[in-house]
Amino acid sequence: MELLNLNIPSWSDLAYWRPEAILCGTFLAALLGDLIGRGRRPAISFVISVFGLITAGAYSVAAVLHGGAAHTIMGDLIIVDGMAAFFRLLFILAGLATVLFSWTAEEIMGRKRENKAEFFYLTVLMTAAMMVMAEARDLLMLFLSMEAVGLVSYVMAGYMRTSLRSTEASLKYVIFGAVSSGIMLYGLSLLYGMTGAMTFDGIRAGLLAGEVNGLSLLITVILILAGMSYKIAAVPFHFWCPDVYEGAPTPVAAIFSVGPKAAGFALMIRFFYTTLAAGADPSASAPLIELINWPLLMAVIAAVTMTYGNLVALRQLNVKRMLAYSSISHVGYLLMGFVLLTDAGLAAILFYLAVYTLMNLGAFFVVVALNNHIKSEELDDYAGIGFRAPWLGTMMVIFLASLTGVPPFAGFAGKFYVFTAVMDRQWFWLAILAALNSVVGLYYYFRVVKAMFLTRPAEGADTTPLKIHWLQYTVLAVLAVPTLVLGFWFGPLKVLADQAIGLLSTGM
Amino acid sequence: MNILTEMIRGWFGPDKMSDQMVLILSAVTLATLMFVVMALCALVFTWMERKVAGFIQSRYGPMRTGRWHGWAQAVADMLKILGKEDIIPAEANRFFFSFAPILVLLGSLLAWAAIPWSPNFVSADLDLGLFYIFAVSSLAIIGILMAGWASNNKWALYGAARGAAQMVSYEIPLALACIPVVMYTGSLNTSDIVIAQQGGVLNWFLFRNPFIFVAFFMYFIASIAETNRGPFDMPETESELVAGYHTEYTGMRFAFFFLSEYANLFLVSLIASMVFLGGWWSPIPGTDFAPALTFIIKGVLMVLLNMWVRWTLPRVRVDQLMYLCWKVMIPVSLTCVVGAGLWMMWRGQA
Amino acid sequence: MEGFLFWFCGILMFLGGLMMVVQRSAVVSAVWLVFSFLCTAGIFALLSAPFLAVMQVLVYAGAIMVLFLYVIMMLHGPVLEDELIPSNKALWPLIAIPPAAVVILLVGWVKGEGLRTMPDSIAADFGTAEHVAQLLLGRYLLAFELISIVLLVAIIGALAIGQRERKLPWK
Repeated sequence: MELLNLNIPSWSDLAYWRPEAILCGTFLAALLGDLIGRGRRPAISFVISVFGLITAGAYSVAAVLHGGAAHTIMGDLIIVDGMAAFFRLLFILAGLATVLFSWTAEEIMGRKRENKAEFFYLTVLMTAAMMVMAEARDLLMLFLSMEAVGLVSYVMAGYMRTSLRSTEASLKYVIFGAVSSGIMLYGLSLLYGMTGAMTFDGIRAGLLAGEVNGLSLLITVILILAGMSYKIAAVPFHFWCPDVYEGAPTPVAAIFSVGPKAAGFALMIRFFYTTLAAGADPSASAPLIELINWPLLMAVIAAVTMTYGNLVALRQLNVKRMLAYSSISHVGYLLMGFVLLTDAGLAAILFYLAVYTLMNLGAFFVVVALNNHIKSEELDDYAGIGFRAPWLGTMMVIFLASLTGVPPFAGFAGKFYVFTAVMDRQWFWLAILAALNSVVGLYYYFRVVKAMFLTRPAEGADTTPLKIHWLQYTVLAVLAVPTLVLGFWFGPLKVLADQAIGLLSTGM
Repeated sequence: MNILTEMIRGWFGPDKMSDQMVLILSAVTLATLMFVVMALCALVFTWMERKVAGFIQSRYGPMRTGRWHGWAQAVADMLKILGKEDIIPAEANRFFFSFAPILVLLGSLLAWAAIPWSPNFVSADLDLGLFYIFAVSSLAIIGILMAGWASNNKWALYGAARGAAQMVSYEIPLALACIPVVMYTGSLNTSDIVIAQQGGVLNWFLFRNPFIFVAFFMYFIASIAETNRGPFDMPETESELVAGYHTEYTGMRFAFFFLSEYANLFLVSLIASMVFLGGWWSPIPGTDFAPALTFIIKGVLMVLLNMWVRWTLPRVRVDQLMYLCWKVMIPVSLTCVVGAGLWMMWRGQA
Repeated sequence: MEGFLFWFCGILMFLGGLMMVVQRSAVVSAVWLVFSFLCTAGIFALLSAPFLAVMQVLVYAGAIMVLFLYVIMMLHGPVLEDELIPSNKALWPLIAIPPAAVVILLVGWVKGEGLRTMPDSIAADFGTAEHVAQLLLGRYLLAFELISIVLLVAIIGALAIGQRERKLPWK
């Protein structure tokens, strides 16, 4: 029929996009469920969200097991390749853990709250949008998916709307987000103006054709980099991070610290690696590379980010704020892998991101679990808490040790790969600085451990054992066990990361 | 447009002027013509409104001025308005205060450009004519907001706020109601829309598709709200806001608001006649003797309908107004769009 | 003629943007932004994109800016404004430097490389409603759907954080 002749490239490609489609359907179903329950039955939305995430996860796992080449969807808007599959699993893990854990989190489900269920389906949608971020191959999808993640984040940051801090966090996030989106959009529009293309391939072709002025390309790339740095909270654009994490409900801060950051990295890797650096083939790289010493610039950003994050984290007395600064320093470590845009470096980023997701989510979730009982995140209130909830304390030790990067925890393996990738190309000063930073990290992470196990609680303080919900224990165990195991048996994950990056460079 | 450019060329001799000059001249001529027509409309419609109001309320309305049914009353009123002192309140924002009436009038005047008066007379024969009309008439909202704010008067500000909220909201069902018709014509050009309705009353879009029949009433209700007339005249409710956003205006500036109100009334009526009621085609096929007159008569009948509604129904509340728009009219209009499309597919009209 | 119109709209657009930034009254800023949008619509029309031009007026100038003005006007009246925003002239150069640098560099680029001119002939249906619809609901269908989801989230979010604490009938 003529009416439906719309030049759609291909409907059948959409089959590769099942997880995203399922999550969008889940979002709508959970929204309707909330409507049917008239806002009184958050369990409907919770169950739908969990099932949707699990189904999407199952499809993603199937896609990974199936392996195979990269598939572009709807022309060249979206690509589902090894890296996309990797990040899908990561995001679904983060989303699922957050949804499950929030079910028993006071800050989300507190007695007085009216809008409990929104959190679940917003998380589901955020997961879907982050997946699109990792798959975007077109400036349009790139920007839209970033905005989708951003909008959900603003709402979730202000989720405790009776709390002044939460509202402040949301407002700060909105303002920073709007400004950085504007800056990035300006850069994207300049890039489009220069190359006349929106797809990454088209942009690359335009850049290689050599009609582009190096200086204006430099401005463009810096503008885009600024927008992406905001998303991952690298140093000149990190100001929002501690305030937002501290003000937002802790489960929200947990997913903020891993989800959008990982998605930002996925976006950066795909954009810079396949568009500007032209993959592994240096002869095909854009004129951009010659104009400025990009590795040095990235190395300096990485060094400043990790050092700043660590040094400021030293002085924090609020555990959430400390974790926020620690997440900034981890962005610094991650950026080290980005310095040379080598396959090894990028694979190390992926590996580190996977590990970081496990341990950082874990650490935040322990804070949530404690917050349910002691209603505080101040370090002083953590005194002796390790004896009131020994399992929780043990798991916190595992997560923090892993965040520090001491063997035999997963964090060590992550750092190991990043460091070797950097030293492989003779960036010794960066590696040494990172190692020194890890030592600094040891101090503030173990200050929490010390408070939990070695500090005596104040006289007359409550010392009854804490009752932790079984769901919380389950989720924490699911995060803690891999954090332990991956410390010495990291082969499979490494292979997966290598494959993801290998496909990225060949499958262009 | 073509006739006019030819005429201008003819007057000045074939090669005396550049094409651009001819274009500019004809544009100026047309704009002046439209303005005069608008002013005439305002005159006729004020008189009509007072007569209609009178009949509905069992009285005569103006009877004395000019002998025959008070026909000269409107002229006298106009002369009185023009002779009034021009006052700008002391604490008002002078620039916005004086600019707002012009902007409001400009919105209606620009929209008139795309009206197809007859098969060979459209001031601006635009491909996107219908959207163009909606776009430029939305500029008037800014004018109303400006007027209310710049007056520095609480009544004016409330009136402007209500007006803006109401007009922005009702623009959606208004445009949505026209979409089914555009689906039939496949064009947003105003002339094309009329041409597609050739062949008598049964080919008017109103009777082609049951969903368009419903959409017509959505359009009519929304158009009453767009023109800020009763029962949706919240922006100027005399009983609570004195006169709404034009409380502080006098003389010529007030006349501009007055003019644009009636210009908008006629505009939405003409659009209704153009989109749903066959435009310049007469109801019986083969009797299209005076296309422009047919078109105007249909428009005037719609205006009368509008006046009938205004003087019959009581004013609604602000929240009822918003409820009606967002929870009734937009869903119904959307249903009309989808339903009309399904009907087209079912009847093989696509 | 076209060249003249381009520079006319372009310069006015730039001026509108500049005035929007330097104005101290939020209402006046918003009105300048509307002005700038109208000039942008003119530029779109000159670029053979009538649909975009109309949408620019309908959506940005006619709807979005109306909401902006609405909110700003509701928040404060005309007289108060000047007292609300303190001026700090010392900050001006600091704020002006980055945009100025970008503008200078871009001008340098245009001068050096020459402008990319419009192709001599464009497809007859370029920029029409049909063409835009074909792209939106064809090639960019996914992006279109993503936008609808983004907007849906914005609505839900606004309701979730914006709604007043109310006594629900079942509580």
